[in-house]
Amino acid sequence: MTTAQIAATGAAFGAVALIALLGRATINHPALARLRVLLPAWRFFDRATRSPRLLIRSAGGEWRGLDEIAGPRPPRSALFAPHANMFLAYQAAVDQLVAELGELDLDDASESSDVVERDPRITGLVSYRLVARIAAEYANGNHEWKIVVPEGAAFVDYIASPVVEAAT
Amino acid sequence: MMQLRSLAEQAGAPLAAIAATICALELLVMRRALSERGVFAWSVLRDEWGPLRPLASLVYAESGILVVIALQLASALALPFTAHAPHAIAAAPAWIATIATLLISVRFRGTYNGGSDSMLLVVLGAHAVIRTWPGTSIAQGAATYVIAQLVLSYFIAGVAKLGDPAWRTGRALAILVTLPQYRVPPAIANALSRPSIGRIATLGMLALECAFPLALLDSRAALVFVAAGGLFHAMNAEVFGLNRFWWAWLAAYPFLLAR
Repeated sequence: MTTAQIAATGAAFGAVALIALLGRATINHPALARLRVLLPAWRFFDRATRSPRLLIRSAGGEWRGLDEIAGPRPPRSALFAPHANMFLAYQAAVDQLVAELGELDLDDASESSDVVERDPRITGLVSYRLVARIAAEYANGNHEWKIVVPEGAAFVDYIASPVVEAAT
Repeated sequence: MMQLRSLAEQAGAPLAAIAATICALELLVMRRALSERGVFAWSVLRDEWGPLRPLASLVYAESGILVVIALQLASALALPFTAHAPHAIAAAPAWIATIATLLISVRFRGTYNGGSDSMLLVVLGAHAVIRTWPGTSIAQGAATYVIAQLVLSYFIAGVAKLGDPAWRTGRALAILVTLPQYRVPPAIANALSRPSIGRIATLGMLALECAFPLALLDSRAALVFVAAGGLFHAMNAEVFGLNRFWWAWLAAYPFLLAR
């Protein structure tokens, strides 16, 4: 390689590295976030921490995690995994709702300790509606759902739905 | 330059084709999730599109997205068989696969399967550019871009992990295998939860990622790191079910090996 080629390669690496490092911090606008596939951050599993969990409770039943309802990962999913990858997309939707709620600034929001959410500014969010549809996909009839987030060694309630009546 | 064109086409294009074919087939199997009865119904997603909604609806409503997925599948299947066709014909499947992959990611509000979509897009885009301007510095630039993204995908992931004590002390994998979304098979989870195995696997993964830039030293080093990386992604596919990452990264390796 000539000096010029080495310099050009180094510059290319530097530019790509800079974009990757800045990517996560700067892509907050929804329109830009939709294009984040073009600006990969490459920070896989950078924090070994637990994720928010979506729990669902059918009428009169116990709270159960989505994974418990869905059951084990289908066999041979190392090669072809349509259901497992859709399941990961569902978890990404849950993570996205938690991230959006964390950034939401509602000045007049009440300080109620009740996590059941009825504020239309939240229940109208696309992320909220996606999570509600995920819960409905796995629920059996009337149900409630909630998201719990890790806090220390335990999980605490973060947001919960009112009772959702099954579609007729 | 001939070596780049030859290896990228002979090994890279079929691997990229397999990766894109798997993506398309998986979504076709799960097409109900994209329908109005499914989770990712366009009637919900469109509310974020503002004034672009009518235009986006042409592509992203139920029938439109199925056409996009079908185009991704058809172009992926055509990719290996058009390598030696005239430039316009050779480039068309690569461009169509690139654009379809981008459109699908955008419909899922950024990505469908995280970094695997990004790497597949990088690889498909490079094939498109190389086939459009073969033998030029533009083609060389596209190949360099793939190599840069490939090396950084490991290096940034490794360096980012160094900030977490769980990674530095070798406990991270024991935590990650308990994450419910991956539904790690119990036998594997139990094995990786044992301190001795978990620590070796965690620190080995960290070492591979942080050292990956050494693959740029020479062709033998590249071969060693590609073999280790391939094994690493195969294990990730088995443990975490991240099958798409395996194929996307396999499709990127020929660019590094042809450097």
